[in-house]
Parts: sequence; structure tokens; C-alpha cells
Amino acid sequence: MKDYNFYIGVDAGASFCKAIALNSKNNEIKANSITFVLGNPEKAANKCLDEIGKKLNVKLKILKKNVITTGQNGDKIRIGQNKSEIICIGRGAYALDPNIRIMVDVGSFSMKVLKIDESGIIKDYLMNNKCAAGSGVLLELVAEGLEMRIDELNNKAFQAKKPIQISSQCSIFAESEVISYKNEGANIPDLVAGVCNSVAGRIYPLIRMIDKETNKVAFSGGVAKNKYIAENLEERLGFKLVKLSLEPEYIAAYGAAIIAKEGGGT
Amino acid sequence: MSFESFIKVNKTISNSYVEEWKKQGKKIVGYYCSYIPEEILVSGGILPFRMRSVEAEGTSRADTILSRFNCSFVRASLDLAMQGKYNFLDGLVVMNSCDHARRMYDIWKYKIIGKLEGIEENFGLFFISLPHIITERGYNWLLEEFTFFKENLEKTYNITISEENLKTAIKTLNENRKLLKEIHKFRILDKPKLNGVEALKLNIATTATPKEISNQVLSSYLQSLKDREGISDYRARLLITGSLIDDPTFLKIIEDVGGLVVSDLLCFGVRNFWDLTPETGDPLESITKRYYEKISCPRMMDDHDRRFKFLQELIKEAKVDGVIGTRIEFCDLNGCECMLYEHELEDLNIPMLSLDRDYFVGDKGRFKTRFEAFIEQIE
Amino acid sequence: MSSHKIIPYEILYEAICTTKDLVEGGPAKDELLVLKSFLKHMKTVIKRYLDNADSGLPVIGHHFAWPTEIFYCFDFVPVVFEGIPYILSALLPEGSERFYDIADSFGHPYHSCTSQKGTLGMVLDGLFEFDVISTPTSPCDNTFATYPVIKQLYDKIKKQKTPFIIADMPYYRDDRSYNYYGKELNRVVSEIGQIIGQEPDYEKLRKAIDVNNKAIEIIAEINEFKKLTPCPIESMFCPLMTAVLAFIPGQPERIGFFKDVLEIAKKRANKGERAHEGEEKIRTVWPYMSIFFDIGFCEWLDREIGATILLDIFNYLFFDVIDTSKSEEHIFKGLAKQSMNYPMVRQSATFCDDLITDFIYLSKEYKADCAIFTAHLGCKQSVSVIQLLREAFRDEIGIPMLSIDLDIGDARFTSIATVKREIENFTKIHDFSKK
Repeated sequence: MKDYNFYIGVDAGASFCKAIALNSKNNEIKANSITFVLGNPEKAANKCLDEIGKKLNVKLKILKKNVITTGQNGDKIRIGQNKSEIICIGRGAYALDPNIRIMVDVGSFSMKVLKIDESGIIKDYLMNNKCAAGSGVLLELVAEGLEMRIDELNNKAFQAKKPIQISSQCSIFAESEVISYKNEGANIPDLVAGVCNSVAGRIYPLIRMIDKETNKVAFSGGVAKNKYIAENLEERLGFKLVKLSLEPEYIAAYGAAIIAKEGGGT
Repeated sequence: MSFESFIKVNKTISNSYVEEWKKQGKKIVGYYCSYIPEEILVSGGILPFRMRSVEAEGTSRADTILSRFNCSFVRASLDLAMQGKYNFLDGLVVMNSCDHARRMYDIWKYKIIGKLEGIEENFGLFFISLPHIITERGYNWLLEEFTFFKENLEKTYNITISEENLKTAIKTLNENRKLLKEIHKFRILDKPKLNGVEALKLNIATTATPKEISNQVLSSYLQSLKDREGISDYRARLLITGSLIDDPTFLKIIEDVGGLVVSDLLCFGVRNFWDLTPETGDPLESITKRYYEKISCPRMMDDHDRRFKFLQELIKEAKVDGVIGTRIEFCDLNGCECMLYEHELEDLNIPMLSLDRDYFVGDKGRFKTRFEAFIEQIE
Repeated sequence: MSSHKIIPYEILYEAICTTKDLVEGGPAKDELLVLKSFLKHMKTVIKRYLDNADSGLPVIGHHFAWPTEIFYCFDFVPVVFEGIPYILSALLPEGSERFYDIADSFGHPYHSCTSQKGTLGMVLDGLFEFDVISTPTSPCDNTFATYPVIKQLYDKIKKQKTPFIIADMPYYRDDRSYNYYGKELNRVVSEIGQIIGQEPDYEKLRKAIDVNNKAIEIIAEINEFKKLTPCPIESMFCPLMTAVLAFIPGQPERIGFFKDVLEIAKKRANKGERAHEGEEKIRTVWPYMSIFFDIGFCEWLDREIGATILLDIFNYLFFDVIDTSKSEEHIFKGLAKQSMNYPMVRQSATFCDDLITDFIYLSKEYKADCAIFTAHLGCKQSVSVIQLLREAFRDEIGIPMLSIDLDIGDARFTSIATVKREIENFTKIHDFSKK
């Protein structure tokens, strides 16, 4: 008999809305979708659910029964229950790999680092609550300034010969610094690599503030798609990051879906 | 001992003189503030080394400890220490100079010494409590502090500092200051013989090299200046003040657009060499007198009027057309001091550009535009 | 009220009266008891200051870090620089922001502490007339930097030279330093006496100290009650106590307020009650200050989150009473000790060890579940030890610390909504109810 109980996690971030659907048997992902938030999280969430509905051939009404929302814009969605992003990321990561002790999640405007213990409980966390320096917004600003797509930055950075040091501490100043270099005729891959290094340089301290030793660290959020940043972070940490079996931008949505399945959504 | 290697000292934290000094088995003690009595260190055969941040590529390591509301210069210097760039130090002396630098005592104590490879438990960490106002009681307090500091050095490094040692050190340091002051005179000529970048490089080098060597290099440099042709193709004569500058790049941006930095009121500059230590009387008393009464830094709370008067003298002496005050973000002391100068200079019709910045000279384009506009306004 | 020498105090008086009417006119008779007592006593005291200013007594603009009693050798009107912008930011709907903006427009660094920035703005707006400005060299760069700015620009406006009397506070906390600072206090008193043409009256000083001695004892009793679970005193007491320390030195209303609070605490403790319905879910310590710019914040914390602020940096006094039967020298040394161990001064004007050991001790003693650190933009010497504190809490007693970047006196820097969201998140993630 076909199981029609689906559990949905919706992670409405600053830029993208991500959704994941599980069914009741196990934590296997049945469908996922991603879309731009564009200032209307509710609409974006519905769009994600629509798409999942189509993929699974299930009515929206059924999908909406068990939903957990999360993310920066999660509380603006009037579907299901809202949960803290930290909890969702922690839950998602623990389900994917219970050996992970530290999750680093970097989105458009936020940076979060959380410490998870052996039983999956979040022991501590740190996040930037005021300043966006080091988060994805710098990548977005720079990509715009250099007239390229944000997903092109990664390949460009790998072409660098000698990364340029971006020293401005603030995202806005850093963007202006990048434009100055560009106008001076700097090599674009070197410049992009410099920006990526500066993002990694902002992420690193949070990890070491929360834990001095562990090397079971995984990286999620949209910025984690940038392999160059991930590699630079590994260089700073002095060890390899734990590989996740799910695309990094879906971790929070996955955690939310699991919480929905465990009854957190009712 | 060539001039070439001396003038290059500013580019790096360690340098060939430091390496040579260490090879001879001698001690080096770092310091953050121009109120540290260098004479006492020198008289103990210790090389005083002023902390800089010039090689820092960011503050990633330091940011595991400090906040983003902390001064980027201090964060960068801590970052370098955590990177091992200050491993040549045998000690660090901290003062209650400012709220950022004074915390380096706590942070080195709890997070650096004995915790990082290369900075072992026997590392000397010293503190001097400097009064914030200038009074007779304050003078006596500081004399005691300097005396304790001397005794602490003797104990920590198992050395003896005699009165004779102190007197010799006073002479050596006065010689250094006199030379810098002579060089300063060539800087304020109608056709200055050196620009601001070169002056800053020299001033930095004297804080990172043995004084005897520094004196030799500076005196032959002084001779060579006399035959130099003066600079006349500048658009404006400028004086720079405000937060710490240890990177000539910043002055180069100004001078590349036609401003000539003919004078300064900075720690790596006039504030460091202007006042001499009396060579008569009890040496520790003379040293205390010199540091306590020297031209002050904004951390001295009751001395703004004297500083402003001195600034006016510098302006007059160097025929300055405009003043640039830079404020490193989160530096309250220089932030407020520059604010006052701006109001006071306005009354005297002297143009002033007040500029907020990071320690890192990142966005050159932005600065260039500001300097160009300021110079045009002066012209 | 016609002399208009201390206009911000007139604004404050109006704000107190309005708030008092609102609070007392409300339907709930048994609520906001501590606030009601605070407003009652503050109203009396501020009225007295206004009357005294009116009658021509000299106005002394001073730092909160003084033992303000020293000025009670004289007949005078106190204006506490750091107090006035923050109490107005709590009581006025529009806060003190317009005064901050005035100061900024004159070039005051945006990151300098708003507690003094506000007063600078008021001075630039022509709202104060001082006979003397006086401060110790403590606890921070803001003081060393902004006081000279206030003095210089005030002089420029008034075309005069205002006496600026400073006592130098050493960096250490030892006998040598207490002796030094005691002599500095003595010097300040005699200099101010000469300026305002009054002979120091040490009997009056002794009386003021006796009042504070009594208050110190009551505060210690109140703090004992805070050890109870649930804590019988509302969180709002913490910022209100800060204000009382700053605004009501050496006067009977100081005793009056703390006595009221003690009575409230006793009654509730007897019934095992807290100030609000509902369970006490989380016991918090705040190693820095609580928030001023939103007067409703503490109530939200108590009611919505079930969290109690047991102590912030201002609520536990790490000093003893002064024996006023002894010599003046003894008294000044005692005042020096108090001043150098005064809240905030003790924890931030010297090495960071006291800040850390104090709060580890208090967290254990008061059974705190967590710490919340308000990383105040102005306070560079405090934000530089956040990580040291976080590690101490985590490694020594195993409790988490939340740190929020904000400005405790400016609602615009980090909004109250953001602060609340951070705290809500923190309490959900750590789920303190499981303990």
C-alpha cells in the first residue's frame, strides 16, 4: 500500500527557500526543491511545496499536514510550525552522520557554528547576530560587481595564481575594495580567490571559539557549495572537513523534515 | 648595517638585526606604547621592540579571542603572535595605554604564554600602570612603577641594571632622538629633503633595531641629506595625526596624489623623539620625568590644551597647509582627539580632513579620492 | 523649576511623573511593585535636585564611577553624566537617540559609548549649566576621550573655562593603589571646595556614607533572597538598582527603595512565589549590563520566557561598609576602596581576572543556568574578554553564554526584536527545562 504520510521541512533563508520531503518509513528523501525567496517567503514556500507535490504526485493539502519551517524567514510562513535553524541544522547533520561534532552553516547573511554531542544534543552555538561580514552577501556583492554569477566564483577562484589579500573587515568596504582592485586591472581569478579566502577567514574563528580540538567538522549552507572556500577553510583548520551525503544547502530543511516526522510538527 | 637593509625594516615584523641580536643570545622585549621607558630595557642589554602589525593578512586567528568591536591594529598584532611571528620575543611589557592594547596583558597571560609553541612559560610578561593625568603624585607613582619594572627585568632575566648602565642608555637614546629631530628639520624645509614615507620608514626602523646601529645609520643618512636636492613638485604640505600608522602604504597614497607629509603627531614619529631625557641627576628620576612630561598622547586626559598648542607649533614650523587625522575604527581616544582638532582648527581656518579607517589599508581607491578632494580644497 | 540649569533633569522629572501615573493608574494593583517604589523615590529625589538647582546651588557634572558621597561635603546638585541618557532612553518613548545624533553630527565617533554621547548631545544642545565637571580616570577610554570633548565644547559654547577636576585611579587593586586614590579623592574635595566657595563639611560626608552603609547591608540581604528558587524579585530590579546607585547617592530615598524591595522579596519568599505567575524556567546572570533602551524588556523576560536576571554587573557589591567613626584619612581610603571596586570599575578598569572570577563565583552561588552577555558597542575593554569569559563558564562550571552585539542605550543599533529573538533561540536550543 502506498504511504501517503509525508513530512516536509522548509528552510526559508534570506535568498533561497529550500524544501525536503520524507515519508514515514525511513529518513529517505522523497523529493526536494529550491526557489528564490524574493522578499516573499510565504509565496516561495508554497512554490517549493507545489513542486514537491508535482514530483510526488501528491495533493498540497496532504503535504501541508506535517510541516516544520525554519531559516531566517521561516517565522514568516504560515504553514506548520516554526523551529530554530540551529536545532534543524543540528538534527539534519546528526541524522546524516552522528560523528559530526561541529556544524558550520553559512548562508547569505548569517554564519552559525554549532557543537553537537554524541547523542545529538546541541551543546553550544555561535552566530553573527549583527554583522554580515564573512557571509554569502559578500560573495553576492562581489559577483555582481564583477558581472558574473555567484556559482561561477568557485571555478574562477581555482584559476588564481596569487590570491589578492582583501583586508577590509566590513562587507561593504570589502566590496568597494574589490571594485578598486578591478579598476586597477587586477587579475580577476586572483581577486575572486582573495574574496573567498577572506570569507573562510571569517568563518574560521567561530569554529575555534566553540571548540579547540575536534576535527569532525562539516560545512553546510549555500556558501558551502563553494569548494574553494571549503578548501581554504580546511587549510586554516589543518584537516579535511567531513563530507556530507546531501547537498549543503538542504541540511536545515532535512533536519526540519526529520523533526516533522518525529512529531515536532503536530 | 647598510642603509638599504635599515630602510627595509618596516616591511616585516622580524628583521636581520633582530636575527643577529638573537644569535648573540641577547633578549628582546616587545611593547605597545611610546610611554614604555626604553632606557630601562636598553640598560639591561635588552632590545626594545615596538609591536607592529605590518605582515598581517587578516585577523582570523585573533578573532577567535577578540571582538569585532576591538581595534583592527591590536587584533592584527595578536594574529601575528598566534601565527608565531613574534616568537623572537622574550617578553612583553603592557601599559594601560588604551582599552584594546591593555587587554593584551590578559590575553597573553591566558591564551598565549605557555599555550602556543615558541612562547614558553618563562616568557616575561610585565605591566606598568601609568597615571592618566599629570600631577606630582602621579610622577611619584610612575617613578615607583619604573623602579618595579627595572627590578622585575633584573629578576626575570637574571641581570643587573646599574646607575651607570642607565646613564649610558639615556645618552644612547637621546642621541637617537636628536638624530631623528635633525632629520625632521630637513623634512620641514620649503623644499623638503625627504618625504613622509621615508620619514615614517626611518622612525619605524628605530623601534625595531639596536639603538647603536640605528644611531650610526641615522648619522650617515643625515650627512647624505645635506647634498640631496629638495622636493618642490608637491601640491600641498600636510601634517598627519590620529591613530597609529605603521604602514607607509597609507602615506604613499597621499604622496602619490601630490600631498607631501611634512610633519606628524604620531607615535611612529614626532611624539616618540621630540623630548629628551635629562642627562643629569638620578637616572630613574630623569627617565620618569621624560616619559611623564613628554608631549602626550590622547590617553592623557587633562593635557588636551598642551597637545593642541604643540600641534599648532608643528603646523607653524612646517608651514602646513592642511591636517589629516585618521581614526582607526573603535579607537575612542584618537576618534575624540581628532574631533576636537577639527573644531579647533576650523576656528583657526586650517583645513582638516578627518578620516575613518581600518588598520588595513584595504580600499585604496576610496582613500585616493578623499585625499585628492582634500588637496584640491586646499589649493 | 525656573532656573533651567539642568533641563534634562526636568525632562526626567516629567518622564517619571508620566510613567508613575501610567503604572499606578493601571488595573494590576500587585504588579510592577519594584518599579512603583523606584518611581516614587526617584520622583522625590529629582524634585529635590531641581529645587536645589533653582535655589542656586552649584551643579557638579560627574561620572557614575565616583563614590558620589564625596561631594556631600558640600551643598550641591549632582548630574550623573552616564545616568541621564540611559534613564531617559528607558522612560521616554523616543529614547535618547536625538541626543546621540547631535553628538555624532559634531564628529563624535559613532562607536563611543552612548552613555556619555547622550550627555555630550545635551550639552551641545545647551541643556546644561555646570559649575564643575569632575571624573575619576576610570573605567574606560570613553571617559578619557569624551570628558575632554564635553568640557572643551561646553567651554566653547559658554565662552568660559569650566573647572575640570580629575582624580587619578591606578590600574591595580592593592593597598598602595587605595592609598594613592584616597589622597586623590581628598584633593578633589578640597579643589572643588575652593571652586564653589564652600568649606568641606566632613560631618555631612559621614552622614551620607552612613546612608550608603545601610543600603549596602540591605542590598546584601536582598541578594540572599535571590538565591532562592524561584527568585522572588523581578528582573527589572537589576537595571533599576543601577539607576538608584547612580542617581540617589547618600540620601534617605536610597535606603527607602532597597527597604521596599526587601519587604517585597520577603513577602514573596514566604509564599515561595516569584514576581509573576508561571514557572521560573531559567536563571540567568548578566556579566555586563542589562538593557536600558526598552523598559518592557525585563518584564518580557520574566513573563514570556520565564527567565530571571539574578544579577548583572551592577547588582553585587564587592566592598564593605566604611567605619565613619574613624579619621577622615580612613574614610577617604575606604571611599577609594569602594570606588575602585564599584560595579563596572572593578570588572573593567583593571585586569580581567575579577570579572571572570566574580561571575563564576556568582553563577555557582546563585545557581545560574546560563549567562547572557550584552556586548555593548561602547565598551571595548569588556568586549575584549567575551571569549575568555565564555570559556570560563563553559570549562569551569559547564554553562553556556549567549553574547549579543548591541548598544544598551540605543534602540536602533540592534533592535529589541532582534535581542528577543536571540534570547528565545538560545533558550529553545539549550532547553534549560531538562536540567
